[in-house]
Amino acid sequence: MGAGTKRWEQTVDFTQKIQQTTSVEGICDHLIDLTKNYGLDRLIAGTIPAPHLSPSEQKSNILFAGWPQDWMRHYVNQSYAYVDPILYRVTTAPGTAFSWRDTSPPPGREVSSKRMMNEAAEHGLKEGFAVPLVTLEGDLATVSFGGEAMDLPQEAAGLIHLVAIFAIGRAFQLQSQSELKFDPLTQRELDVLKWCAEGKTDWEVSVILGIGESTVRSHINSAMGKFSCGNRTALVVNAIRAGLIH
Amino acid sequence: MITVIPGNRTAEYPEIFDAVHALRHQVFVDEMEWTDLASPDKREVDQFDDEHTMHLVSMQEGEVAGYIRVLPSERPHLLTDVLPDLQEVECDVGPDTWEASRYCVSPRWREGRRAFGSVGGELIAGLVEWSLASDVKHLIFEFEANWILRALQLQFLVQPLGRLHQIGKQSVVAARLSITSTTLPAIRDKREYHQPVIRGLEPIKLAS
Repeated sequence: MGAGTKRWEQTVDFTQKIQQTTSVEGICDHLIDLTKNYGLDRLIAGTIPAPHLSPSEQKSNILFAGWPQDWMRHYVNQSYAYVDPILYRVTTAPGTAFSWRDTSPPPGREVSSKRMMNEAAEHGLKEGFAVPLVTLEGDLATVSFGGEAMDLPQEAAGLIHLVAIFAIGRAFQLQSQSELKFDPLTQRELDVLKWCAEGKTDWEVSVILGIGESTVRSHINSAMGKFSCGNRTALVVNAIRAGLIH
Repeated sequence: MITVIPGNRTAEYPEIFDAVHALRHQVFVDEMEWTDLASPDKREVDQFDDEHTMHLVSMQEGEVAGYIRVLPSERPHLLTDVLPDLQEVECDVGPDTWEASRYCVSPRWREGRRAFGSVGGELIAGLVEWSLASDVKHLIFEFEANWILRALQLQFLVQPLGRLHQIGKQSVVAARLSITSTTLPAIRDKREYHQPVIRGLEPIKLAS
C-alpha cells in the first residue's frame, strides 16, 4: 500500500472518529495527533471576532483554544486582531486554505504586524497553516495550526484542510447539542441503552444487569421520554448521535 | 414550496422546465463559468436529464426560484461518469443512495452571499423530506469543501469519498451525506420553519 493510500485511509478514519467524539478537547487531541507529524502541534479555531469587540467578547468566539495561554493573553491585551495578517487574509479573501507565509499585513499595519508574528514565533508559533470557512449562519470561521517547524507537503495540506472542516463542524454540533439540553440519562438508563444497542431483548438485558424485566422496560420508557422518541430504534440512534453510547 | 417532478413527467410542465434549464445555464455557465456546459440556446441540459431523474423545484410567487435534482446511484451519475477523479474509493450504490446535483438559487431569491437563505434552505429541507418519504438514506454530493461544515451543522453524518480538488477558485470534494433522525429537525430549526415544504408528498416511484 502506498503512503498516499495510507494517508487517505487515516483521513477517512479520522473523519468518522471525530463525528463520534463527544468533547471539544477530544476533537483537539485527535487533530493534533494528526498534524504534529507535520510540525504543527498547536491550534486555535473559532468564528472571527470583529476587532472592535472587547477581550471577553473576543474569547467567547473561540471553539478550540490551543494556543499557549500567555501568548493568547498577550494577543488579546495588545489587540493584535487588528494587525494579525492571518485574520486579515481570512476576512478579506476567505477562499482556500493557506500557509501563514503566504499572508501580508493589513495595509498601514506592517510594523506592528511584523512585531506580532515575531512574538508569536517566540511562543513556539513560527509557521502555520490556516483553513478559512463560512458557517451556515454566514459567519467567517477559521482553524489555524501552528508550530516551530512546519513540513507540510501539498497532498497532506489537502487532507488537513479536509479534517479541519470535520473538526470545526463537530465542534458546532456539540455546541448546538448542549443548547438543546436533554435531561441527562441516569447511569442505569445508560447501562440498559448500551445493551439495547447491542440488540439484546428486555429479558436478556435484565439477566445481564441483574434487574427485573419490568425495570428494564421502565428505564427504556423513561429514556424515550427524555429524547421525545417513540421506539427503541429511534432511542438508540438518538443516544448514539448525542454521543452517550457508541 | 417545493414541487417534486419525476423525470418521466417533465413534458407536462414545459414552462417550469424552460425556466429550470435557463436558471441552470445562468448559474453554472454564466456565473460559475463551467463553460463545458454552455449551450447556444442558454438552456443547460445534460445526459442525466432523463426519465430516471427526480427534479425538485422551488416555486416562489409563481416563478422558479431554486432547483436541485437527484439521480439514482445505481445508474450512471456525475461521480461515476463526469467527475470520477473526485472519488478515492467507490461509494456503495443502491436504491437508498441518490446523487444530488445542479443545486442553484435564482439571484433574485438569494439573501446575502454567504448565509443559508430561505430558498436554498427550502431546497435542502425538501430534499431531505423527499428522501425520508422515498426510503433514501444517503445523498452523494460533489460540492465546495465548505459545504461539509454546513452539512455537519445540519446534523448529516458525512463521509468524504475523495480528496479535495482545486477546480478554478474552489476546493471541491465528493462526500456521502447520511440522513439521521436529527437532520430534518436541525434543518427546520435553522430555518425557523417547521412545516413540510413539499405539499402532499407521497413516496414517488419512478418508472423503470
